Amino acid sequence: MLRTIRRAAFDQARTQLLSPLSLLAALAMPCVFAFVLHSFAPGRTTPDMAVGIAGIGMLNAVIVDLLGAMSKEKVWRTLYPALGSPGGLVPVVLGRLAGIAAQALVSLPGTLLVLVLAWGISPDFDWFRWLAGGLLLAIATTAVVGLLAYFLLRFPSSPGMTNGLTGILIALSALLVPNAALPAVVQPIAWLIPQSHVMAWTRGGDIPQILIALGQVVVFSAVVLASLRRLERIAREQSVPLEY
Amino acid sequence: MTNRIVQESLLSYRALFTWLNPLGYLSSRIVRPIGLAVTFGALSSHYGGSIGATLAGASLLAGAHAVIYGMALSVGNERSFGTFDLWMASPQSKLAAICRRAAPHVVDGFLGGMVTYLSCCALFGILPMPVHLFAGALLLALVSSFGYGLMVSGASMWIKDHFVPPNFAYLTLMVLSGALVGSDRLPEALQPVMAFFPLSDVSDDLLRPDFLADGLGELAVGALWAVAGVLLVLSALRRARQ
Repeated sequence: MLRTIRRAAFDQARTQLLSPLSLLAALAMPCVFAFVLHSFAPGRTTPDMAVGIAGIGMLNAVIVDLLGAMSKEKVWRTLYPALGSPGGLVPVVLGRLAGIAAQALVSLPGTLLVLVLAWGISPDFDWFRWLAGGLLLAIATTAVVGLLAYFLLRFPSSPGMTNGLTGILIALSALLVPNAALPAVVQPIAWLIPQSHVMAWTRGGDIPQILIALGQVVVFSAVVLASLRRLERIAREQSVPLEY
Repeated sequence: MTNRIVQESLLSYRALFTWLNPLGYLSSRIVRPIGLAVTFGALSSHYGGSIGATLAGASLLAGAHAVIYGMALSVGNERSFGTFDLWMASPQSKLAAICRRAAPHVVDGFLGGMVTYLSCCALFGILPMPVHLFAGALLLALVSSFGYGLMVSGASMWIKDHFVPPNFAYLTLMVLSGALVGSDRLPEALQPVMAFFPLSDVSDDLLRPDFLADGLGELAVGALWAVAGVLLVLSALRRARQ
């Protein structure tokens, strides 16, 4: 199983690491958001700003890459051979997700470079919070967006259906502002996803924030795993078509 | 005649606007703009900016997004479906066709802009400007966005990846339209450039009572981009004939 996961992660890097669309999603859009953010918050870049801007790139990249990866598996017609193999479909999708999470990390140094060149860096920049927050954000984003894999494989793809995810998750992840700045109705919903807790920790939060985030990542990952296992089962037992 | 124009507009909307499915439409034209407007509204409120102006600006941008992407897809999808060369070879006036295909997206942009504005006002519990005034500003923004969309459509005839021109155009608008970043917060070097972008006249000081007086400026900006669009379309047609 681990070998298949590693191989699928490698396939992800091999096919999409330098994809222009992926790089555009990971780097171009967050830079525009950085410009808007700094127009409201002049001054040098702080760790939470850097992680939040990188988080926009990660979110964009994970959605675009996951859509690309699942579509490619359908086009290559590799889903049924995977389903028929002893390991099944799950390790292939998990490997792809692991590759996508690693690939999304390009946003972390990529956007920081732009932020530093354009606006400078605050003298007391906390590098540990930037690095740990960025890494956790990539994992949390992949765990939440990973749910999309089930829907992309289970149902026929509808063009444009993933566009709204970026908008709604940028808001709910509290990437640019603390959760308290969001509309009152949105705040409790935002706490349900791990990204908002990671961002709260990056803004100077305590260890419990990280523990909550990690707990939520485990829950989301378990749901992703359960949904993929269910997909595998219904594809085998009910002949649900995967490649259309 | 009118019936034929309406029929062609609706047919192109049905055939070429690939996001016209329940999930794609809701996701692209309702959820995404509302999510982004909430983010920008929260950003503005957190850093002491004018939340009302930011919400109104983000809603204008939602309308512009619908027109620009819709017009780009109505040309770019000819390429995706393999009918681009046939269309180019047909005797139909391409400029007239692009304009007719834009009509449903302008209507859609109005609906999308209004839904974004009203939803975000409800979420933040404010009404920065009366609905009829916002509707007037949105109409002006949509007219200038139509001119900008014509330029993006022309670019889509040249560039094979049909998402590159609208993405680039939209990201440029986020920075230079004044809808999110007011002229006073823009670097000095960029301030003169801003006047040449759609939404810049109508967004500038959006909350003052006589903002519609800038309508002529907004229309002129739209006309300028429309001329650029016409030139791009004509040059693409000349290249296709050669």
